Amino acid sequence: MGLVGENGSGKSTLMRILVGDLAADAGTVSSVGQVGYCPQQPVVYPRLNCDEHFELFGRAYGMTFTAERESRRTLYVALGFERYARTRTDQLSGGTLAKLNLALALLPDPEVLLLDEPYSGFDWDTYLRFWEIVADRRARGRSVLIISHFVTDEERFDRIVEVRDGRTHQR
Amino acid sequence: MTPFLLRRFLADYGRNGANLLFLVVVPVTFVLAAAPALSNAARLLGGAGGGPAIETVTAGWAAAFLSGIAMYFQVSGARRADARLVTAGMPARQLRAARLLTGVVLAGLASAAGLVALFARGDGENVWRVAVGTLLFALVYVGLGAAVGAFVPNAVNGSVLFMFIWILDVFFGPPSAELSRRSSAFFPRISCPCGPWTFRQGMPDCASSRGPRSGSWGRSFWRSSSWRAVAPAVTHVGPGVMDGSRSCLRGCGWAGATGSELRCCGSSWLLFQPSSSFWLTQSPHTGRRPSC
Repeated sequence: MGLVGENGSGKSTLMRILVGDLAADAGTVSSVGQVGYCPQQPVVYPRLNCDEHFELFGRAYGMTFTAERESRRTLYVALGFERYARTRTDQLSGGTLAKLNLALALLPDPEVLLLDEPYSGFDWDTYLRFWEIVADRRARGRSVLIISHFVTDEERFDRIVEVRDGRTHQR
Repeated sequence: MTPFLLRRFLADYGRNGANLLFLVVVPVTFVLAAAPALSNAARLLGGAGGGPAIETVTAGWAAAFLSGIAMYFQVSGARRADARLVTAGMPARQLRAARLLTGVVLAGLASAAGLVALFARGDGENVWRVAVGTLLFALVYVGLGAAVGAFVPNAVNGSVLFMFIWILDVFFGPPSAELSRRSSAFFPRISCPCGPWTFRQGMPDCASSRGPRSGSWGRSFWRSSSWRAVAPAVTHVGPGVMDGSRSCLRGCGWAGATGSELRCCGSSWLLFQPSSSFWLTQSPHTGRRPSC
Protein backbone atom coordinates (compact mmCIF):
# COMPACT_ATOMS: atom_id res chain seq x y z
CA MET A 1 0.00 0.00 0.00
CA GLY A 2 1.23 3.44 -0.81
CA LEU A 3 0.66 6.48 1.35
CA VAL A 4 0.92 9.70 -0.61
CA GLY A 5 0.18 13.37 -0.11
CA GLU A 6 1.65 16.83 -0.29
CA ASN A 7 4.50 17.96 1.92
CA GLY A 8 3.18 18.58 5.40
CA SER A 9 -0.04 16.69 4.80
CA GLY A 10 0.64 14.39 7.75
CA LYS A 11 1.91 11.16 6.17
CA SER A 12 4.83 10.73 8.56
CA THR A 13 2.71 11.82 11.50
CA LEU A 14 0.12 9.19 10.59
CA MET A 15 2.83 6.55 10.38
CA ARG A 16 4.32 7.56 13.73
CA ILE A 17 0.86 7.27 15.25
CA LEU A 18 0.39 3.84 13.69
CA VAL A 19 3.67 2.62 15.12
CA GLY A 20 2.98 4.11 18.55
CA ASP A 21 5.66 6.78 18.40
CA LEU A 22 3.08 9.57 18.72
CA ALA A 23 -0.20 9.67 20.60
CA ALA A 24 -3.30 10.19 18.49
CA ASP A 25 -5.68 13.05 19.25
CA ALA A 26 -8.53 10.64 18.67
CA GLY A 27 -9.13 7.06 17.63
CA THR A 28 -7.30 3.85 18.37
CA VAL A 29 -4.68 1.77 16.61
CA SER A 30 -4.90 -2.02 16.66
CA SER A 31 -2.23 -4.25 15.24
CA VAL A 32 -1.83 -7.99 14.86
CA GLY A 33 1.59 -9.52 14.52
CA GLN A 34 4.99 -7.95 14.48
CA VAL A 35 5.47 -4.46 13.03
CA GLY A 36 8.68 -3.24 11.45
CA TYR A 37 9.11 0.52 11.25
CA CYS A 38 11.60 2.46 9.17
CA PRO A 39 11.54 6.17 10.11
CA GLN A 40 12.14 8.86 7.51
CA GLN A 41 15.41 10.00 9.08
CA PRO A 42 17.78 7.24 10.18
CA VAL A 43 17.42 6.66 13.90
CA VAL A 44 20.49 4.84 15.19
CA TYR A 45 23.14 5.01 17.91
CA PRO A 46 25.96 7.08 16.42
CA ARG A 47 28.93 5.24 17.90
CA LEU A 48 27.72 1.66 17.51
CA ASN A 49 28.51 -0.23 14.35
CA CYS A 50 26.08 -2.00 12.00
CA ASP A 51 26.61 -5.43 13.55
CA GLU A 52 25.92 -4.07 17.00
CA HIS A 53 22.71 -2.48 15.78
CA PHE A 54 21.54 -5.78 14.35
CA GLU A 55 22.34 -7.48 17.67
CA LEU A 56 20.45 -4.84 19.65
CA PHE A 57 17.39 -4.88 17.44
CA GLY A 58 17.49 -8.66 17.10
CA ARG A 59 17.17 -8.91 20.88
CA ALA A 60 14.45 -6.26 20.90
CA TYR A 61 12.47 -8.22 18.33
CA GLY A 62 12.93 -11.37 20.40
CA MET A 63 14.83 -13.21 17.66
CA THR A 64 17.08 -16.15 18.35
CA PHE A 65 20.79 -15.70 17.83
CA THR A 66 20.76 -17.95 14.76
CA ALA A 67 17.74 -16.28 13.18
CA GLU A 68 19.21 -12.85 13.73
CA ARG A 69 22.55 -13.85 12.20
CA GLU A 70 20.88 -15.41 9.17
CA SER A 71 18.58 -12.46 8.59
CA ARG A 72 21.46 -10.04 9.06
CA ARG A 73 23.57 -11.83 6.48
CA THR A 74 20.69 -11.89 3.99
CA LEU A 75 20.04 -8.18 4.44
CA TYR A 76 23.70 -7.27 4.09
CA VAL A 77 23.79 -9.08 0.76
CA ALA A 78 20.42 -7.86 -0.46
CA LEU A 79 21.18 -4.21 0.24
CA GLY A 80 24.90 -4.46 -0.51
CA PHE A 81 26.54 -3.02 2.59
CA GLU A 82 28.26 -6.03 4.15
CA ARG A 83 31.65 -4.36 4.06
CA TYR A 84 30.40 -1.74 6.49
CA ALA A 85 29.40 -4.31 9.10
CA ARG A 86 31.96 -3.09 11.61
CA THR A 87 31.81 0.59 10.72
CA ARG A 88 30.37 3.00 13.24
CA THR A 89 27.18 4.59 12.02
CA ASP A 90 28.52 8.12 12.42
CA GLN A 91 31.11 7.21 9.81
CA LEU A 92 28.66 5.82 7.26
CA SER A 93 27.59 7.69 4.14
CA GLY A 94 23.98 8.86 3.93
CA GLY A 95 23.03 6.07 1.55
CA THR A 96 24.58 3.32 3.67
CA LEU A 97 22.95 4.75 6.77
CA ALA A 98 19.61 4.63 4.96
CA LYS A 99 20.29 0.96 4.15
CA LEU A 100 20.93 0.18 7.80
CA ASN A 101 17.84 2.16 8.78
CA LEU A 102 15.75 0.05 6.41
CA ALA A 103 17.47 -3.23 7.30
CA LEU A 104 16.66 -2.75 11.00
CA ALA A 105 12.97 -2.65 10.09
CA LEU A 106 13.27 -5.70 7.81
CA LEU A 107 15.34 -7.76 10.27
CA PRO A 108 12.60 -9.90 11.87
CA ASP A 109 10.63 -10.30 8.61
CA PRO A 110 7.60 -8.71 10.30
CA GLU A 111 4.02 -9.27 9.25
CA VAL A 112 3.52 -5.53 8.80
CA LEU A 113 6.15 -3.14 7.46
CA LEU A 114 5.75 0.61 7.82
CA LEU A 115 8.35 2.41 5.70
CA ASP A 116 8.61 6.18 5.64
CA GLU A 117 10.37 7.14 2.39
CA PRO A 118 12.87 4.35 2.94
CA TYR A 119 14.85 4.82 -0.24
CA SER A 120 15.99 8.41 0.30
CA GLY A 121 19.68 8.41 -0.52
CA PHE A 122 19.67 5.06 -2.34
CA ASP A 123 21.46 4.73 -5.64
CA TRP A 124 19.48 3.36 -8.58
CA ASP A 125 20.59 -0.26 -8.12
CA THR A 126 19.72 -0.26 -4.44
CA TYR A 127 16.41 1.40 -5.24
CA LEU A 128 15.55 -1.44 -7.61
CA ARG A 129 16.72 -4.02 -5.08
CA PHE A 130 14.51 -2.39 -2.49
CA TRP A 131 11.45 -2.97 -4.67
CA GLU A 132 12.51 -6.59 -5.20
CA ILE A 133 12.61 -7.04 -1.44
CA VAL A 134 9.16 -5.47 -1.13
CA ALA A 135 7.79 -7.71 -3.89
CA ASP A 136 9.26 -10.75 -2.16
CA ARG A 137 7.66 -9.81 1.17
CA ARG A 138 4.35 -9.16 -0.53
CA ALA A 139 4.50 -12.55 -2.25
CA ARG A 140 4.97 -14.17 1.16
CA GLY A 141 1.84 -12.54 2.53
CA ARG A 142 3.41 -9.61 4.32
CA SER A 143 1.79 -6.17 4.36
CA VAL A 144 3.92 -3.20 3.42
CA LEU A 145 2.86 0.43 3.82
CA ILE A 146 5.22 2.84 2.09
CA ILE A 147 5.21 6.62 2.09
CA SER A 148 6.20 7.72 -1.38
CA HIS A 149 6.50 10.91 -3.36
CA PHE A 150 7.33 9.34 -6.70
CA VAL A 151 4.58 9.18 -9.30
CA THR A 152 6.52 6.38 -10.98
CA ASP A 153 6.13 4.23 -7.87
CA GLU A 154 2.36 4.34 -8.01
CA GLU A 155 2.08 1.40 -10.37
CA ARG A 156 3.93 -0.75 -7.84
CA PHE A 157 1.20 -0.47 -5.21
CA ASP A 158 -1.93 -2.56 -4.85
CA ARG A 159 -3.66 0.31 -3.11
CA ILE A 160 -2.88 3.99 -2.72
CA VAL A 161 -4.16 6.15 0.10
CA GLU A 162 -3.81 9.89 -0.09
CA VAL A 163 -3.62 12.09 2.99
CA ARG A 164 -5.44 15.32 2.30
CA ASP A 165 -6.83 17.92 4.73
CA GLY A 166 -6.09 15.65 7.65
CA ARG A 167 -8.05 12.73 6.23
CA THR A 168 -7.21 9.69 4.17
CA HIS A 169 -8.76 9.20 0.73
CA GLN A 170 -8.60 6.08 -1.41
CA ARG A 171 -7.30 6.67 -4.90
CA MET B 1 19.25 -8.30 28.58
CA THR B 2 20.19 -5.42 30.89
CA PRO B 3 23.91 -6.38 31.06
CA PHE B 4 23.93 -6.61 27.27
CA LEU B 5 22.39 -3.16 26.95
CA LEU B 6 24.75 -1.81 29.60
CA ARG B 7 27.77 -3.00 27.61
CA ARG B 8 26.41 -1.43 24.45
CA PHE B 9 25.59 1.89 26.13
CA LEU B 10 28.99 2.05 27.78
CA ALA B 11 30.60 1.31 24.42
CA ASP B 12 28.50 4.04 22.81
CA TYR B 13 29.69 6.48 25.47
CA GLY B 14 33.29 5.36 25.65
CA ARG B 15 33.92 5.43 21.91
CA ASN B 16 33.84 9.18 22.09
CA GLY B 17 37.37 9.64 23.39
CA ALA B 18 36.64 13.15 24.61
CA ASN B 19 33.96 11.78 26.95
CA LEU B 20 36.42 9.59 28.83
CA LEU B 21 39.05 12.29 28.83
CA PHE B 22 36.68 14.83 30.38
CA LEU B 23 35.41 12.26 32.84
CA VAL B 24 38.89 12.05 34.31
CA VAL B 25 40.51 15.39 33.56
CA VAL B 26 37.71 17.68 34.75
CA PRO B 27 37.37 16.26 38.28
CA VAL B 28 41.12 16.14 38.73
CA THR B 29 41.59 19.71 37.50
CA PHE B 30 38.64 20.98 39.46
CA VAL B 31 39.85 19.44 42.71
CA LEU B 32 43.44 20.52 42.25
CA ALA B 33 42.91 23.98 40.82
CA ALA B 34 39.53 25.29 41.91
CA ALA B 35 39.31 24.04 45.47
CA PRO B 36 41.31 26.84 47.16
CA ALA B 37 39.44 29.59 45.33
CA LEU B 38 36.06 28.05 46.13
CA SER B 39 37.06 27.66 49.73
CA ASN B 40 37.78 31.38 49.98
CA ALA B 41 34.52 32.21 48.22
CA ALA B 42 32.58 30.04 50.64
CA ARG B 43 34.08 31.84 53.59
CA LEU B 44 33.00 35.16 52.12
CA LEU B 45 29.46 33.87 51.51
CA GLY B 46 29.22 32.65 55.09
CA GLY B 47 28.47 29.02 54.27
CA ALA B 48 28.52 26.08 56.64
CA GLY B 49 31.59 24.75 54.97
CA GLY B 50 34.75 26.68 54.42
CA GLY B 51 38.39 25.97 54.43
CA PRO B 52 39.24 22.29 54.22
CA ALA B 53 35.61 21.17 54.05
CA ILE B 54 34.99 23.05 50.84
CA GLU B 55 38.16 21.68 49.38
CA THR B 56 36.85 18.23 50.21
CA VAL B 57 33.47 18.82 48.68
CA THR B 58 34.99 19.89 45.37
CA ALA B 59 35.49 16.22 44.55
CA GLY B 60 31.75 15.74 44.95
CA TRP B 61 30.93 18.80 42.89
CA ALA B 62 33.16 17.74 40.06
CA ALA B 63 31.93 14.14 40.08
CA ALA B 64 28.34 15.33 40.28
CA PHE B 65 28.70 17.67 37.33
CA LEU B 66 30.38 15.11 35.11
CA SER B 67 27.99 12.33 36.08
CA GLY B 68 24.94 14.48 35.60
CA ILE B 69 25.98 15.91 32.27
CA ALA B 70 26.92 12.43 31.04
CA MET B 71 23.51 11.15 32.04
CA TYR B 72 21.83 14.13 30.45
CA PHE B 73 23.46 13.50 27.10
CA GLN B 74 22.76 9.80 27.37
CA VAL B 75 19.04 10.37 27.84
CA SER B 76 18.58 13.30 25.48
CA GLY B 77 20.96 12.14 22.77
CA ALA B 78 19.63 8.60 22.54
CA ARG B 79 15.99 9.53 23.03
CA ARG B 80 14.82 8.65 19.52
CA ALA B 81 17.02 5.59 19.17
CA ASP B 82 15.83 4.31 22.53
CA ALA B 83 12.23 4.95 21.52
CA ARG B 84 12.78 3.00 18.32
CA LEU B 85 14.27 0.14 20.27
CA VAL B 86 11.28 0.05 22.59
CA THR B 87 8.94 0.21 19.60
CA ALA B 88 10.77 -2.81 18.22
CA GLY B 89 9.94 -4.71 21.41
CA MET B 90 12.69 -3.96 23.90
CA PRO B 91 11.16 -3.91 27.40
CA ALA B 92 11.23 -0.27 28.52
CA ARG B 93 12.08 -1.26 32.08
CA GLN B 94 15.25 -3.04 31.01
CA LEU B 95 16.27 -0.18 28.79
CA ARG B 96 15.70 2.26 31.64
CA ALA B 97 17.67 0.11 34.06
CA ALA B 98 20.56 -0.13 31.60
CA ARG B 99 20.61 3.63 31.09
CA LEU B 100 20.65 4.25 34.83
CA LEU B 101 23.33 1.63 35.41
CA THR B 102 25.42 3.27 32.73
CA GLY B 103 25.03 6.53 34.63
CA VAL B 104 26.05 4.81 37.86
CA VAL B 105 29.19 3.38 36.24
CA LEU B 106 30.12 6.80 34.88
CA ALA B 107 29.41 8.35 38.27
CA GLY B 108 31.80 5.81 39.80
CA LEU B 109 34.52 6.74 37.34
CA ALA B 110 34.10 10.48 37.85
CA SER B 111 34.00 10.03 41.63
CA ALA B 112 37.13 7.90 41.56
CA ALA B 113 38.99 10.51 39.52
CA GLY B 114 37.97 13.31 41.86
CA LEU B 115 38.82 11.29 44.96
CA VAL B 116 42.22 10.28 43.67
CA ALA B 117 43.01 13.94 43.08
CA LEU B 118 41.66 14.85 46.49
CA PHE B 119 43.71 12.25 48.31
CA ALA B 120 46.74 13.10 46.20
CA ARG B 121 46.45 16.62 47.63
CA GLY B 122 46.91 15.11 51.04
CA ASP B 123 43.29 15.29 52.19
CA GLY B 124 43.30 11.71 53.35
CA GLU B 125 41.10 11.87 56.43
CA ASN B 126 37.84 9.98 56.65
CA VAL B 127 38.57 8.33 53.35
CA TRP B 128 35.56 6.03 53.19
CA ARG B 129 33.16 8.64 54.44
CA VAL B 130 34.32 11.14 51.87
CA ALA B 131 34.30 8.49 49.15
CA VAL B 132 30.73 7.43 49.90
CA GLY B 133 29.59 11.04 50.12
CA THR B 134 31.19 11.89 46.81
CA LEU B 135 29.60 8.89 45.11
CA LEU B 136 26.17 9.68 46.54
CA PHE B 137 26.55 13.26 45.37
CA ALA B 138 27.32 11.98 41.88
CA LEU B 139 24.35 9.61 41.99
CA VAL B 140 21.97 12.43 42.88
CA TYR B 141 23.16 14.25 39.79
CA VAL B 142 22.74 11.14 37.67
CA GLY B 143 19.06 11.38 38.58
CA LEU B 144 19.01 15.09 37.82
CA GLY B 145 20.72 14.54 34.49
CA ALA B 146 18.14 11.93 33.56
CA ALA B 147 15.27 14.22 34.54
CA VAL B 148 16.64 17.21 32.61
CA GLY B 149 17.34 14.94 29.65
CA ALA B 150 13.78 13.70 29.72
CA PHE B 151 12.25 17.16 29.85
CA VAL B 152 14.66 19.14 27.69
CA PRO B 153 15.62 17.48 24.42
CA ASN B 154 17.54 20.47 23.06
CA ALA B 155 21.20 19.97 23.94
CA VAL B 156 21.99 23.66 24.42
CA ASN B 157 18.97 24.37 26.59
CA GLY B 158 19.48 21.20 28.58
CA SER B 159 23.15 21.89 29.20
CA VAL B 160 22.41 25.46 30.29
CA LEU B 161 19.64 24.31 32.63
CA PHE B 162 21.78 21.58 34.09
CA MET B 163 24.70 23.95 34.61
CA PHE B 164 22.36 26.49 36.19
CA ILE B 165 21.21 23.91 38.73
CA TRP B 166 24.78 22.92 39.44
CA ILE B 167 25.97 26.51 39.83
CA LEU B 168 23.12 27.23 42.22
CA ASP B 169 24.12 24.17 44.18
CA VAL B 170 27.79 25.08 44.28
CA PHE B 171 27.53 28.77 45.07
CA PHE B 172 24.30 28.95 47.02
CA GLY B 173 24.15 25.49 48.56
CA PRO B 174 24.68 25.00 52.28
CA PRO B 175 28.43 24.46 52.21
CA SER B 176 28.96 27.75 50.42
CA ALA B 177 26.18 29.99 51.66
CA GLU B 178 24.25 30.50 54.84
CA LEU B 179 20.87 28.78 54.55
CA SER B 180 18.16 27.49 56.84
CA ARG B 181 17.82 23.74 57.14
CA ARG B 182 14.45 23.84 55.37
CA SER B 183 15.71 25.75 52.35
CA SER B 184 18.87 23.69 52.17
CA ALA B 185 16.80 20.55 51.66
CA PHE B 186 15.87 21.74 48.19
CA PHE B 187 19.41 21.75 46.95
CA PRO B 188 20.36 18.81 44.79
CA ARG B 189 22.80 17.32 47.21
CA ILE B 190 22.18 15.20 50.20
CA SER B 191 19.79 16.73 52.69
CA CYS B 192 22.28 17.08 55.51
CA PRO B 193 23.07 20.80 55.62
CA CYS B 194 26.72 20.05 55.15
CA GLY B 195 26.68 16.66 53.52
CA PRO B 196 28.60 13.62 54.69
CA TRP B 197 31.70 14.62 52.78
CA THR B 198 32.24 17.44 55.22
CA PHE B 199 32.49 15.04 58.11
CA ARG B 200 35.97 15.67 59.15
CA GLN B 201 37.89 17.13 61.94
CA GLY B 202 37.58 20.85 62.18
CA MET B 203 33.93 20.92 61.14
CA PRO B 204 32.16 21.14 64.48
CA ASP B 205 28.86 22.36 63.11
CA CYS B 206 28.45 19.47 60.75
CA ALA B 207 29.86 16.87 63.03
CA SER B 208 27.74 17.76 65.99
CA SER B 209 24.15 18.84 65.89
CA ARG B 210 23.38 19.34 62.24
CA GLY B 211 25.15 16.57 60.47
CA PRO B 212 23.94 13.02 60.03
CA ARG B 213 25.07 10.37 62.42
CA SER B 214 27.21 7.64 61.08
CA GLY B 215 25.05 5.17 59.22
CA SER B 216 22.33 7.62 58.36
CA TRP B 217 23.59 8.48 54.90
CA GLY B 218 20.99 6.37 53.21
CA ARG B 219 18.23 8.11 55.09
CA SER B 220 19.69 11.51 54.41
CA PHE B 221 20.12 10.61 50.78
CA TRP B 222 16.51 9.67 50.45
CA ARG B 223 15.30 12.65 52.45
CA SER B 224 16.74 15.00 49.90
CA SER B 225 13.70 16.71 48.41
CA SER B 226 15.38 17.18 45.10
CA TRP B 227 16.21 13.52 44.85
CA ARG B 228 12.67 12.51 45.70
CA ALA B 229 11.40 14.85 43.03
CA VAL B 230 13.80 13.47 40.48
CA ALA B 231 12.89 9.85 41.05
CA PRO B 232 9.31 10.04 39.82
CA ALA B 233 10.44 12.13 36.90
CA VAL B 234 12.93 9.48 35.94
CA THR B 235 10.40 6.74 36.44
CA HIS B 236 7.55 8.27 34.53
CA VAL B 237 8.77 11.06 32.35
CA GLY B 238 12.16 9.88 31.19
CA PRO B 239 11.10 6.37 30.31
CA GLY B 240 7.86 7.77 29.04
CA VAL B 241 9.68 9.82 26.49
CA MET B 242 11.80 6.83 25.63
CA ASP B 243 8.89 4.44 25.73
CA GLY B 244 6.74 6.46 23.44
CA SER B 245 3.50 4.58 23.23
CA ARG B 246 2.15 3.97 26.68
CA SER B 247 3.68 6.56 28.86
CA CYS B 248 2.06 8.97 31.19
CA LEU B 249 3.00 11.87 28.96
CA ARG B 250 1.57 10.20 25.90
CA GLY B 251 -1.57 9.45 27.79
CA CYS B 252 -1.85 13.10 28.65
CA GLY B 253 -1.57 14.09 25.01
CA TRP B 254 2.08 14.98 24.68
CA ALA B 255 3.46 17.07 23.09
CA GLY B 256 2.51 20.41 24.42
CA ALA B 257 0.46 19.20 27.35
CA THR B 258 2.47 21.04 29.94
CA GLY B 259 -0.32 21.22 32.49
CA SER B 260 -1.05 17.53 32.22
CA GLU B 261 2.63 16.78 32.35
CA LEU B 262 3.02 18.68 35.60
CA ARG B 263 -0.05 17.03 37.06
CA CYS B 264 1.41 13.65 36.13
CA CYS B 265 4.67 14.42 37.85
CA GLY B 266 2.92 15.80 40.90
CA SER B 267 0.71 12.80 41.30
CA SER B 268 3.63 10.47 40.58
CA TRP B 269 5.55 12.04 43.39
CA LEU B 270 2.65 11.73 45.81
CA LEU B 271 2.08 8.12 44.84
CA PHE B 272 5.62 6.94 44.97
CA GLN B 273 7.43 8.98 47.56
CA PRO B 274 7.11 6.40 50.39
CA SER B 275 9.16 3.87 48.45
CA SER B 276 12.85 4.52 48.21
CA SER B 277 13.65 1.99 45.54
CA PHE B 278 10.58 2.01 43.32
CA TRP B 279 12.21 3.77 40.47
CA LEU B 280 14.61 0.94 39.97
CA THR B 281 12.08 -1.82 40.41
CA GLN B 282 8.66 -0.52 39.48
CA SER B 283 7.45 -0.66 35.94
CA PRO B 284 5.35 2.34 35.02
CA HIS B 285 3.10 0.00 33.11
CA THR B 286 2.44 -2.42 35.92
CA GLY B 287 2.80 -0.24 38.97
CA ARG B 288 0.40 2.28 40.35
CA ARG B 289 -0.20 4.87 37.75
CA PRO B 290 -0.97 8.48 38.39
CA SER B 291 -4.28 9.59 37.02
CA CYS B 292 -3.73 11.96 34.17
